[in-house]
Amino acid sequence: MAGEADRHFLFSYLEDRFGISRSVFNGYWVFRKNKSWWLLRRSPYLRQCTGLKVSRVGLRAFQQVGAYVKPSTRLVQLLAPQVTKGRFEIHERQMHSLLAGETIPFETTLENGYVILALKDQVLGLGLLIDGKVRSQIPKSQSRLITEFMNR
Amino acid sequence: MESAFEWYRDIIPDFSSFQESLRQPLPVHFRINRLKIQPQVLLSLLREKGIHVEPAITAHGSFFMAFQLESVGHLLEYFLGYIHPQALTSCIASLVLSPKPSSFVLDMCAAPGGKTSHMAELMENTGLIIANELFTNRQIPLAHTLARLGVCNTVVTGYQAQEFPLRQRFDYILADVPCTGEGRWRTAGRSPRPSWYQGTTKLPDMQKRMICRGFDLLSEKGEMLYATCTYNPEENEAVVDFLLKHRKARCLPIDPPFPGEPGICQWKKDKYDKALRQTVRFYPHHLDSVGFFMARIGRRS
Repeated sequence: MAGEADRHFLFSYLEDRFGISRSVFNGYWVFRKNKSWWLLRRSPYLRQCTGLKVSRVGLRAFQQVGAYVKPSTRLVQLLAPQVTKGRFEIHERQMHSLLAGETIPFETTLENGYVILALKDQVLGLGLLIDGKVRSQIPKSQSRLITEFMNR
Repeated sequence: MESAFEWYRDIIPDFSSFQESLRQPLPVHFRINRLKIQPQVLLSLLREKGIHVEPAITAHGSFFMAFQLESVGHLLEYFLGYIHPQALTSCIASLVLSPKPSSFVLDMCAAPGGKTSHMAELMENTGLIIANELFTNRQIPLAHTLARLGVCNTVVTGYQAQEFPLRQRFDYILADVPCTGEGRWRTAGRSPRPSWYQGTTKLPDMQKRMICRGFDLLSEKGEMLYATCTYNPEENEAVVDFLLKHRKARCLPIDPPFPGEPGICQWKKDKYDKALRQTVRFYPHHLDSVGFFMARIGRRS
């Protein structure tokens, strides 16, 4: 299980970057393995499972990528209603450009780092903002799927 | 020419309608994942796309049928985790067990994760579900399903279900065991006899060990749902009958949202406990979905 320092690091980041209150995570444990963190709902029953051989715990929530912490697509989708900043609404043409590997310019005062990409109010995943330009961080396999979905 | 499942003619009511139903393709049913979206919002998104859906269970506003679609797996809403394709009878299994929020649950054979994620939804993503799946290659789709649907209350283990460690006791156990899968069989353009059907099978022995281990893992007031998607009494009533004979178990009544047929008490020369009438069989000519069997089990006081 990850310690208080990890919790502070991760949840401060989410609060500062996306406006997600750290109190949202009071009911969760954080587990760390190598450069990834998982979230699991707190339950007294977990103590009874200490002897079990476990292959996966909860939802993969964060990954350390270079200097940045990258929240997972599934985490930002789940927490979408709590996001108050760092979220870019884009239209379909921009989304196609991003999924094709292009960057798109954005006027923002936000510092470089991850941003949430939303289309028609639905959170699709993450982009990386560097010097006013955003590049999609949605994995290629998922990008292909989203392109197909959007073409239907 | 031999007709499909002829050997069940004596136990399946209205057998000709049953056979007729097997000639129809399986309908596309899906469940709205309330962990991520409210049904009315999702329905409005689908309406905007011109996708027509109909409620499949009126008492529960999360289950729908999509007439025009071959699969809902092609929709963006699937990728976003708003919907999950799931047979109606499969949804009923989780509803019958109905694990309460904050409870402790074991899903003995969890992949591909439809019922696990449905239970997580019913539990409002609280408590703890142990999603057990022996095969590592089946743990991958299980993990994908749980992540896509935003499930945060689940731990995945990889034990043989019949040897799951006896260290803890659970409030609810789902034993949706491996079976011959006859209930999924639709004959449209195919042989009347499923190619994998050998007439005899070693599955019942394994199923008996699984149901006994599941029962041994139940807390004093716990409940277990034993389920298969087969019509075969040797995998259904005979397995539950074995449990009733070897453990202090009892069959609890089931009140499903759809009418089912009561379990049978005799098959060929074998007679089963009368309590097996409390179990339920679902047939595709009564409910246009996968054929299913369910037994709700508790401890005898």
